[in-house]
Amino acid sequence: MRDFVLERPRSISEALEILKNQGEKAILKSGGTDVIVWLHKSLKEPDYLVDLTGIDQLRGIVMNDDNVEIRALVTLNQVIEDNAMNRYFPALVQACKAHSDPLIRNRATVVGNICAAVPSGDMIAPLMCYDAKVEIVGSRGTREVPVSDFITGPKKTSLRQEEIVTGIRIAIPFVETSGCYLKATRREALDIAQAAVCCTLHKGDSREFRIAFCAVSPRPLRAVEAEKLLNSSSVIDDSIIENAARLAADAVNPITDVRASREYRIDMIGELTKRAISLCLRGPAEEGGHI
Amino acid sequence: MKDKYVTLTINGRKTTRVVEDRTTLLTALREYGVTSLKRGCEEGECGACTVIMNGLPQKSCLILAREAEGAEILTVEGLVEKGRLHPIQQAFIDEGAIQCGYCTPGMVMTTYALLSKNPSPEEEEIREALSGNICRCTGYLSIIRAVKKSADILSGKAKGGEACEDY
Amino acid sequence: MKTIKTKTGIGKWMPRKYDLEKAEGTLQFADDLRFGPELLHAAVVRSSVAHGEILKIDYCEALKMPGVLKVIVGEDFPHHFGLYLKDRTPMAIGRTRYVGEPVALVVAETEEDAKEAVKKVKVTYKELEPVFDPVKAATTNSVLVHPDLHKYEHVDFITPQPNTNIANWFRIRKGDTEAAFKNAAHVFEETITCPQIAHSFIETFCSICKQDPGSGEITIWTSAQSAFTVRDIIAKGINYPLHKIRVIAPPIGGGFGGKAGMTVEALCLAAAMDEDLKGRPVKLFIPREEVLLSSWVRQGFVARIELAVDEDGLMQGIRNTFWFDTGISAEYGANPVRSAGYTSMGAYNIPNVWSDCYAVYTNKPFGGAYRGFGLPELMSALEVVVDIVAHKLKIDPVEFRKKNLLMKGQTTCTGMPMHDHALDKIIDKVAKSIDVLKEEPATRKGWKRGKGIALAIKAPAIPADASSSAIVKLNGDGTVEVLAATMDMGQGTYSAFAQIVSEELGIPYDWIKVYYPDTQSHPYDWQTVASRSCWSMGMAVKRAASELREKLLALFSEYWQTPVETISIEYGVVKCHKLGKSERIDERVQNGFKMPDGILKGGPIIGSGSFTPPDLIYPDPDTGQSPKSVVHFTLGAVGIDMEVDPGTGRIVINKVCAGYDVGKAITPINVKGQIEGGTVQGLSACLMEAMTYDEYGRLLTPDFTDYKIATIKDAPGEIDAFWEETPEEISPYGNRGVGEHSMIAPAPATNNALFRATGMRIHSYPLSRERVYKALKAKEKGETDFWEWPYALDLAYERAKKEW
Repeated sequence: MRDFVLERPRSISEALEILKNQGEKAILKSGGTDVIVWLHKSLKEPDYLVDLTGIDQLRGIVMNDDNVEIRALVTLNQVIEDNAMNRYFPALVQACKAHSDPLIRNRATVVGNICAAVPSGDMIAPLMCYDAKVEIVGSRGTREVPVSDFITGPKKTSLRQEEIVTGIRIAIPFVETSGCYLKATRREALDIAQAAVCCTLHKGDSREFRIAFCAVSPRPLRAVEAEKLLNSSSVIDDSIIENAARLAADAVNPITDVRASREYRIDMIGELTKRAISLCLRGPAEEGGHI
Repeated sequence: MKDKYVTLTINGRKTTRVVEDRTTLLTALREYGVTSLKRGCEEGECGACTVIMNGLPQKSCLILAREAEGAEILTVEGLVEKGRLHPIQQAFIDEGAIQCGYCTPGMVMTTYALLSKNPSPEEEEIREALSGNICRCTGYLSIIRAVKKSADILSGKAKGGEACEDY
Repeated sequence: MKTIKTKTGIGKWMPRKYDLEKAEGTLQFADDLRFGPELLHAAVVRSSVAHGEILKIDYCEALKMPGVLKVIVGEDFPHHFGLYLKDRTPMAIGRTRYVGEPVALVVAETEEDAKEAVKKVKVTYKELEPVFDPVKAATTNSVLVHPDLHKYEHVDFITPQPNTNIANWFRIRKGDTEAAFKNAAHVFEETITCPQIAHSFIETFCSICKQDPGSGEITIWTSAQSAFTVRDIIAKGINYPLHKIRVIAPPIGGGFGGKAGMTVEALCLAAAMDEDLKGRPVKLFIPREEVLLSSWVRQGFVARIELAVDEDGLMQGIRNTFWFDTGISAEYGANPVRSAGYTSMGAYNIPNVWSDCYAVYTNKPFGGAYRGFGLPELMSALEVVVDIVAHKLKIDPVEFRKKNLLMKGQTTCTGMPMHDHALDKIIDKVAKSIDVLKEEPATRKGWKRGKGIALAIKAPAIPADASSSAIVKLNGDGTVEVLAATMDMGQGTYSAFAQIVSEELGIPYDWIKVYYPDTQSHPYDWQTVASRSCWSMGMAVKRAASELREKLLALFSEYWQTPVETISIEYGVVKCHKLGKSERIDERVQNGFKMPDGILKGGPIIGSGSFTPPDLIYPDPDTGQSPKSVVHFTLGAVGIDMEVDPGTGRIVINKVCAGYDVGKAITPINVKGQIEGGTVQGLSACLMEAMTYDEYGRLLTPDFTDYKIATIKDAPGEIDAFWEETPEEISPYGNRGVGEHSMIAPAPATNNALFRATGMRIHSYPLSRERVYKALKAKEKGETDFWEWPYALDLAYERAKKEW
């Protein structure tokens, strides 16, 4: 790979200073499981690589009264092993498990996955279902952006040049929830999603389904029509599930590439949505992952 | 130009290496002589570069050397004590779980990490733990047997050094 | 009285040689070797067009990059190389033929310097029309991949067809197929397709070459299966005497045929022999994403098989047409075509056989040796066709195969009588192990379950004179060193050789060392391929150990003044029970025994042995007939119990049963390892492997991100591996090879199981999830057969196969 200057700031302000000085010449890295591969394949050739793994302020899953903050350096395995994550956000835990293998998961971060903004990023759909907010710090101050607005296209985010994502904030649900993440891949382990469905169900008086996808649209997508149907039906029987699945499949706009054709992806969205809804109804946290 | 440094404790020995910013941990360790780590793919897909870094199994091709500043690194070279193989290494030999040997160091280290956390894993857990280590030669079933045997040796249920006779 | 006693002879379960070093991590592969700071590094500039004239290679910018010493192009090293057909140059010369073909080599002080400079080399092409479909390439000559085919040197058993894209055409003409088909009660015609697939060994290619500027002598360290083949091919390519080329083969991290022959050594040599660079060692490390572009892969194929069956369900005739897609080179790829051809009756007794097997050039990365060498291709098609026929005739698949099985004395398609074997017994065991005829419900809700079987057969695909030789040295303390140039790439041959020496010499296994190949010290061996080493080199090692034993016994006989028959070697100690003598082996075997007459005699003691197959006769080039076309066959069968999820197309294998007639298991731990490993490799190929291209001929699956192979989670729950031992006549201990055979039947067996589960027959490999899903959707619309061949997009497939 082309050589670069590695900066290892010790604090967020130090990192912001570097970004201000180097501008377009610098890219950020947390775990590096995407960035190092891009550098190895010469897909990106920055002059400066700002490695955030030396910043302690960016570590930790922080429980607040009504929300949880997953900071930028939190790895997928740390999410999987966290009790609160398992209790409140089971679909996110499943997505972390489905992402890759236990070794990569010791390095890959939730925030890194969102910032890479690859449409097949496994974190996108669960964070859409959980209405997550991206916390951003820049030289001009802090701001909070919903995940749906943060990712603006394939590998594109609304992060400005002199900004860093410091974490993801998710509201703690105050009702019982179930959730699952189902991922269609070419083999049983370690693969990029051909298509994936995340479904969460907030139980209680006003029961609410949320459904989102990975790998089948250029921007993060919730299955709005499917959700409407499910959430307005007092009884959810097989035909409602079938219809919801069809509405979900109609909502997506996938590409054809070497991993899968557009048609297969659309069909898998329909099939996985059906299964995901049923799993959530059976829930609290049914095992999903690779299907 | 190489004019950067990283200090690592590699298999118990502290050392400062000269590296470039772009040097991966895999390359830095191999240049130091830790050649059990292999360049299988350098894209995080095969696991032949697996090390234990600060207690966690990692794919060293995805880590820059300077990121690992101050880290403790453990590889198979560090598992051999005074000429005696670690029970996991012995179990791999006993069960015929080694053919070309290229994936073996990575498999052994991932197994080491697994058994440190979960001393008696079920087969499903073994498959999950090793899902990031690719082997093309053995077909994996002998590796699963080796992990089970490792667990048995470590817990005292079995003795290492007996070639399996399972046909 | 038995002259030799050992606890570690053939047939014992032994811990394998070098397993210890592999577990420790101290075994050094080519990439681990250390040279000094004078080591140079090469990186490859590759073609970006599938077919084109090279107008200009501009490397001015590259030369200015830090650390760069030189850029070398095709014209600087214009030698042709090839094992069977010299159609290959290390770099393109004047014309490029596939996307990824080396067009230049950058040499620099560090690997990173070389790789960065590659990016600065600008090549301009005049694009020519490419051809990607092997059938189109074979049947229309509008695009010729090798217009100079008639000029290439080749061995006389390969038949390139000038002015076409056919690099080899192997024919079988046995009996009278026209009559057989005319008179048959039932005639069937089916087509099966399969794309190219890759070996995916975990170690990539790595060569280091160095030339002495004064003497011109060349040293090559390289990841190769066959050190002597590398030497021979290079010597013939650059016209060099053999004694000036030394090839050192460190242990390799997997071969599977992909490191047979000469792969990237000549490319590395182009740098090492350069006028300005010679004297310094040059290292060429091929990174993962360039492996498939650097040397051969398994040939893709389109197969059309016609079968004529009589009223009693007996096969009377078969017509095979196989187009093997060999990419731009058939230097090795010419031979799997032959190998499939002379076994094109499968495991069946078919009196009338007409086969045409073509090696076809296309503008893609090239094909060559891959585990199974034509037989996984043949049987992936034939065993599916046999299953289709059984189903249509309403005969159960086990009975149909058994009643047509090629038994001892019946002739193969070359007219050679089959030897004794236990395949019928193996079929019964396999059928019973998975209860193949019993339909059982799926264990997963909503899934469908099916069982299938397929047969395996293969003979070593070797020239008639493929030889092995070995030297065994007895050290002055009773330990033994073996020089046998077989590459132990994990199949475990060194353990087998040590057991053979132990068997013949009475020396304990742990006292015996076998060295990795070095042409400087080892005697000649043809290649480590073809599942031949335990048999062929095993014979040489046995003869060498036997000769050594005879010399040792003769010395002790004179020393003790007692007949040789009264002396035994027991667990490393020489004994004469009659005289009550017992002595360890010591320096006297090096420096001489003081005989009763006071004269020092004997020492050093070396045994040597060699073996060449004694009675092979090449098949006639027009008819393919020969009374002994191959040395022997290893036969076997695989049964698959699988389930499929119709909602997604996902297949999970519940259980595999796989059995082979190996003649004699010298090292049982090796045999089991080969069966398990090849089974999973075969399943991986079946379910997920395919080299896929875009419309410009660019490989879309160059690295592990997109060329997927089985992970531990893809391995089946259970593999019931077993073997039978019907001894082979010409063999050290009755043993035959088994290394490749486990790769042959898993794919067709799975295909057959899928048919039983769903009623849908998929004619195109791999049975990926998407393909299975699409096929099952087609089934819902009433289809029973499904094809998906990427190059027949513009032809309705039914029509396409008739036209072919």
